[in-house]
Order: sequence, then structure tokens, then C-alpha cells
Amino acid sequence: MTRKGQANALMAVVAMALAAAPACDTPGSVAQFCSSAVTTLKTGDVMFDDMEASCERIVEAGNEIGTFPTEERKTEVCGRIGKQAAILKSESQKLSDYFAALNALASFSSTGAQSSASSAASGAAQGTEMSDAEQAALGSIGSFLVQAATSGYQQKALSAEIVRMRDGVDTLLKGLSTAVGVVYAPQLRQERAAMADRYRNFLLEHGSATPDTLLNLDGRWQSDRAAFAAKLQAAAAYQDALATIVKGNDDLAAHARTLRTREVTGLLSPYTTQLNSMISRIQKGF
Amino acid sequence: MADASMPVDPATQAAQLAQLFYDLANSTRDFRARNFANLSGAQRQQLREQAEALQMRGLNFTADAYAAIAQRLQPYLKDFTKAIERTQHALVDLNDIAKGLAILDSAVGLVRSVAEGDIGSIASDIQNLAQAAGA
Repeated sequence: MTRKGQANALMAVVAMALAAAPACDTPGSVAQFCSSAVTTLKTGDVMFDDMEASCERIVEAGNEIGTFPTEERKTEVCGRIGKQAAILKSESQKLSDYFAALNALASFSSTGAQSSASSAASGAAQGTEMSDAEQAALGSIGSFLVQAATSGYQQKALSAEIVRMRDGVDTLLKGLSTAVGVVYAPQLRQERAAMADRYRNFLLEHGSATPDTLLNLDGRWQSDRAAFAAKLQAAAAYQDALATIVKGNDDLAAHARTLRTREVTGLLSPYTTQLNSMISRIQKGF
Repeated sequence: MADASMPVDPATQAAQLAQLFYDLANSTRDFRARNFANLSGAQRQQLREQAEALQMRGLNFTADAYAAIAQRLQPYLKDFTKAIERTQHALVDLNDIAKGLAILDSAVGLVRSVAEGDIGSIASDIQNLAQAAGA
């Protein structure tokens, strides 16, 4: 074989190798989805923080307007709610840590390792009779091999973990959703009812309220009412977002080992887009 | 109507009880407000205290509902701790440059075969490379 023929053959091998290299978009799509899941879970923390505070506000609403209590009041039942809310928050944090770990794995880039391998491969060729083109080709092959090895390992580790943890992820997400939707939201509605009764009771006790007082109270109530509506909407958005993560996670786990790169991107993109829009809806409530 | 054979979820049950007591508290307050003019001072106070007691009962069931959910999720946390550790180990493996560099011997062999025109060795060298890369 002539020198030129050898070089061409070498380039053909390199071209074949590069064509066979696995694409990197699958981990990228998973990373974006996981990143949105982490942000959603962290955004929801404010609701767990508010559970005890809401309880205290419900109890405080029993004080007539104008009594101005100054002592720091801690109600036993609210303390109990706060303790459980802290546990729920830590469970949300654990789930968030899991998605963050998946994100880190999915975000791994082999660029640095490829560069090192390319340099090392070229170095290994020095001292031989290889031409510059052959040494460059050797560098490309070394780079490809690192990319192939890391990409394959990365995808296998990701899909194994996603499939293995599917049920656990679903259970935690549904549990957090129940805490906010079935327990916290009714608690907020009760806080709203208690607040409304406080204003109403003031008017009943002071039947000769002036129009100015009435307008003042009405203005305060409208403001409170809007704040409750925003919190309830945030709670509903949080539930929607968790349900979206459940669906995305289920779809991903069901197809993790079979889907091609573009299919995974197409599968996860709508969920990631939905999550990103829901995160701002949650943030508006607090 | 709920099927009696279905298992009862403690969290849902506690949340339902909380709502029941909240509704009773609010109904008592509404009754007090509607009949305010006809009630004596003592009756007003009594209804107010009853409403607060009912509401407090509701808050206790709310705390029970949160506790039931938190308790139900606890057993899964160990699995997540392990999953996070596995994922972190996988990342360490990926960062292990030696994993990539260990296959360079095979690459050098392939390039030499091509450069020397040793067609017979190229196929087996490619196979060796693929195995070393874990592809």
C-alpha cells in the first residue's frame, strides 16, 4: 500500500469511528428535565415553611381586632404541624438531591477527557515512523474511544438508575403533592375563613362603624383575599408540576433503554417546558 | 359510596376529618353572626369558644394528616440515599481519565496496522478497540 493509500485508509477508519460515536443529546435532555425538577421542588419549599405559620395565623385570628397581643405565642398543635412540615421538606430535599445527582451525571461532558486522550495518543505515536497525519488520526481515535466509553457508560448508568428508582420517585412526588393539595390547601382555606370571620366579628361588635372604617376593612380584606388566592393558585401549580414530573419520569423510565436520542429529546422537551412555566406560577404565590 | 373492603389511607382520612371540623367551626361562626342580635353576651362568647375548639380539633387532624404522609415516605429515603451514592460513583468513574487512556494501546496497534498496510490485522484491531471502549 502506498503512503497516500495508507493515509486514506487511516482517515476512512477515523471517519467510520466518528460516525459510529453515540450522540450526546440524550443525557442533555435528561439533564434539562432533572434541572427543572430540582427547581420545582426547591420552589415548593416555601409552602412547607408556611404550614406552621399558617396554623399560627389561624389561631391568632381568634384575637379580636384591637387587642394587640405582644407575647410570642407558640401553639402546641402548630408546633406539631411545623415538625411534620420540616420532615416533608427534608423528604422533598432528598428527592431534589437525587434529581441533582442525575443532572450531574447527565451533564458530564467527555470533552476534557477526550482532549487528554488525544494528546496522550499523539504522544504515544512519537518516536515511531508515523507521519503527522497518522499521529493526528491516532489522536482522533483516542479521543473517540474516550467519548465512546464515557458516553456508553453514562447512558447505561442513567437508564439503570431511572428505571430502578421509578416507583420511589413517583411515591415521593405523590406524597408531597397530597401534603400540599389535600392538607395544606384546605388549611389555607380555613385560614381565609378565620380571617374573614375576624373582620366580620369586628363589625358585629362595633355596629356603629363609620363608612371610612367599612371601606378600610373592605380594602384590607380584598388584599388578604388576593393573597390567599395567590397562595392557593401556587399550591395548585405545585401539584400540577409534581404530576408533570411523575409523567415525565414514568415515560422516561418506560423508554430509557429503547429510545433513540431524538426520541428521548422529543419525549422530555414538553415536560421540561411545562415545568418551567409552572415554576413561575408557584413563585407568584409567595 | 366507599368500598368497605378498600384499605383506608390514614392521611386522607385525617384530612377529611380536619375538613369536617373546619366546616363545623365555620358553621358555628356563621350561626353566631346571623343571630348576633338575638344572642346574649354569654351565648356569643360560648359560640365563639366552641367554634375555636372545633377549629383546633381540625388543626390537630391536619397535623395528623401531615404526619401520616411524612411517615409513609420515610422508608423510601434510604433507597434515595443509595441511588445518589451510586450516581456519584458513576460520575467519579466517568472522570477517571485512566479509563479512557487505558485503551490507547489498542488504538496505537490499529494505527500501526493501517500505516503498515496490514489489512489482516485491521479488523481484529478494531474489534479490540471496541471491546476496550466498552461499546
